[in-house]
Amino acid sequence: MIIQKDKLFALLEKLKSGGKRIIAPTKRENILLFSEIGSTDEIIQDYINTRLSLKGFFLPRSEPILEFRIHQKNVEYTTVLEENIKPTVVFGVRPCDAGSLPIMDKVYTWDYIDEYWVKRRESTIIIAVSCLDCDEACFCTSLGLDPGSTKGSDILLTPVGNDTFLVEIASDKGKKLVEDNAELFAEGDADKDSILAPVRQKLGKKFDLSSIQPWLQENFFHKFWEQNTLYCIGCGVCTFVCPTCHCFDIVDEGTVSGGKRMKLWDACQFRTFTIHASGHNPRARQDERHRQRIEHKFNYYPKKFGDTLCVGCGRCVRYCPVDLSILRILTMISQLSQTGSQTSRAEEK
Amino acid sequence: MTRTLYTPELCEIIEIRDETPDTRTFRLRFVDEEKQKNFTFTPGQFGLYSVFGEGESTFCIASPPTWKEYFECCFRVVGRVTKALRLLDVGSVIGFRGPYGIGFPLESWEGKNLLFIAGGIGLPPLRTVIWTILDPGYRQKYGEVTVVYGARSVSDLVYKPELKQWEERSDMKLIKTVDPGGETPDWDGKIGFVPTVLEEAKPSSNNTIALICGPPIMIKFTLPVLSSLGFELKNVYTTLENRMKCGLGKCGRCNVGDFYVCKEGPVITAERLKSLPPEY
Ligand SMILES: Cc1cc2nc3c(=O)[nH]c(=O)nc-3n(C[C@H](O)[C@H](O)[C@H](O)COP(=O)(O)OP(=O)(O)OC[C@H]3O[C@@H](n4cnc5c(N)ncnc54)[C@H](O)[C@@H]3O)c2cc1C
Ligand code: SF4
Ligand code: SF4
Ligand code: FES
Repeated sequence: MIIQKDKLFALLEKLKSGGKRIIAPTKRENILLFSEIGSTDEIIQDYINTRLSLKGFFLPRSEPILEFRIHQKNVEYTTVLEENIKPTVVFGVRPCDAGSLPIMDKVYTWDYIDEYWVKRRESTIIIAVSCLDCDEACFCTSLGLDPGSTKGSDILLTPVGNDTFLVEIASDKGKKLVEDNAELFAEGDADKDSILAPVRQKLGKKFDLSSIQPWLQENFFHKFWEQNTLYCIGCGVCTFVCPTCHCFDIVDEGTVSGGKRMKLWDACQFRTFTIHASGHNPRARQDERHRQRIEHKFNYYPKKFGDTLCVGCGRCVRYCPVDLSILRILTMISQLSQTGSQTSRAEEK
Repeated sequence: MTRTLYTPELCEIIEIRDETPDTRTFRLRFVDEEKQKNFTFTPGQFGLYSVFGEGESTFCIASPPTWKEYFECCFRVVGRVTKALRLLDVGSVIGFRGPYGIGFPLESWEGKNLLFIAGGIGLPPLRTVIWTILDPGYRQKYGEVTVVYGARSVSDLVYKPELKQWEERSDMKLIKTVDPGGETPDWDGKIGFVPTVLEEAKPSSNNTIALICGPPIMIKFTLPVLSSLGFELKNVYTTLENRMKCGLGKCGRCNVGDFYVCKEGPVITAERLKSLPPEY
């Protein structure tokens, strides 16, 4: 199945006038970001990827979870949870970002269900677009993903030239959307593999993923961490731009008469993240905090949830102010695991 | 009313006791009577206690589940939330979420002797276990019960009236101590650090479970003493205090390696702890 670009934009306009919120890559103050569009004219089509991932639409940077009023010894409170989330369509999602969503679903539905995440997920349709180009920070293929992967998408579109997209239905939600708008789609096929071949080749395979977790399990005390990550300045940018970083804080804001309890993005790279009330800090040094980020993504999360907590979108590589590239760290680990160098706990402590 | 996993329950402070100059006990009761009636937990589990407008703080549930009319927490005043808690009077309400985490496996210890070792404010998480097994319905299921409790000074001992009750009981043994210099003229306990006092007391490790809770330095020096007494690491339990926010395995704050303290802890065996990175 295929769809022409004008039909696709007509589809988005139709969904919009049907009451859906349409989110797409746009330029906002000259920064490429996902944002709600007023018209399809605002959609940017020539891009590698947005500065921020779409995580913020499911896990907002800050959101109230409770509101309270205090009157002397009495407290009244109400839970804040949007019951009727506006049905949303996100268009132009890259396969890496789409792939991050089912990975994140696991932590938010593990035992206790986080309704904030789940409700927004349920009311959102993801229309992803395959990548025909990448930059040197991208490394999805090294993680078993692909510039044409359907993971996490409802519909995947692959540009096949002449303002035409190949359409792949990747979920029931996607199927329904196509069925409901069948008149806009047309019969047709294209050779996706040959279209994606150049970008796949450019991406290549930058390290051996299967070597990373075993090395991490063995080398918690390796001098590698101090040598290669101590210069991290702990700004947290890597975690905020990341589609799979999901740590948050819970903080009260207000006055003596009332206020709100907020859920806010937080970052394991901050010194105060783990500090105890006594002043003792389990991760007192920046290299220890940086090791946590890598261990969490490539060792703990896979162990617990079966997925690597990284999709190779390359954002943290692009935006780190001191060029501490996770891609370089992973490549080095992959190389080290071949040479077999390690430092034992006994030597270090 | 809409509720989510982060929505607290309201609890009223029905009694306040000062344990030490900077440590206070709250006796709490759910405002919703049904909630109080149905509230059950395992000793060792924790909750998130909140002062609205200041935030949430993690404390263990310090009372035993056998007390049905109310529950207790004991906190040291150290920061934003605990300072705000201290300003509250009887009749004030606070928020509570819980119980969370996994407590002590009391059932698997039936037929065994129990040795409790606590330092300072490490007693509350063990006190819930102690009062549980001292309950007439439980006491005969366990063998000898020994408590070694120490603090920096006499004024730093928590639950002083209960220490007296424990001393007077014939079905348990209490060894209390204060650090050298922390004694008062009328102090009738031992003078010495907990590990030293434990070494002198030589409790048998035979068929015995040890529970240890206190400042990291005390735990560090007590573990070798337990080993020399013949305790295997798998029979030594402690609780972790990593900083928490959600308590539900979502916020990513509390992990020690791949061990999520809020979900798989806070209770942990010394054996498991040894296998984890030293991030606690
Ligand atoms: C499972 C578990 C059980 C616990 N049980 C108990 C218990 O029974 N009783 C008890 O008293 N405690 C217990 N604790 C510890 C308790 O949770 C903390 O002492 C408490 O949360 C402190 O809260 P606070 O808001 O008063 O302090 P905070 O204001 O959060 O912080 C206290 C101190 O931490 C440091 N700090 C915090 N944030 C920052 C920052 N942004 N920048 C710089 N420094 C900072 C400061 O030194 C500050 O004074 C337990 C902890 C856990 C995890
Ligand atoms: S860790 Fe970096 S490359 Fe991986 S998903 Fe996050 S931002 Fe993208
Ligand atoms: S790795 Fe870079 S982006 Fe991440 S916290 Fe360190 S300095 Fe900031
Ligand atoms: S406290 Fe949030 S994950 Fe453990």
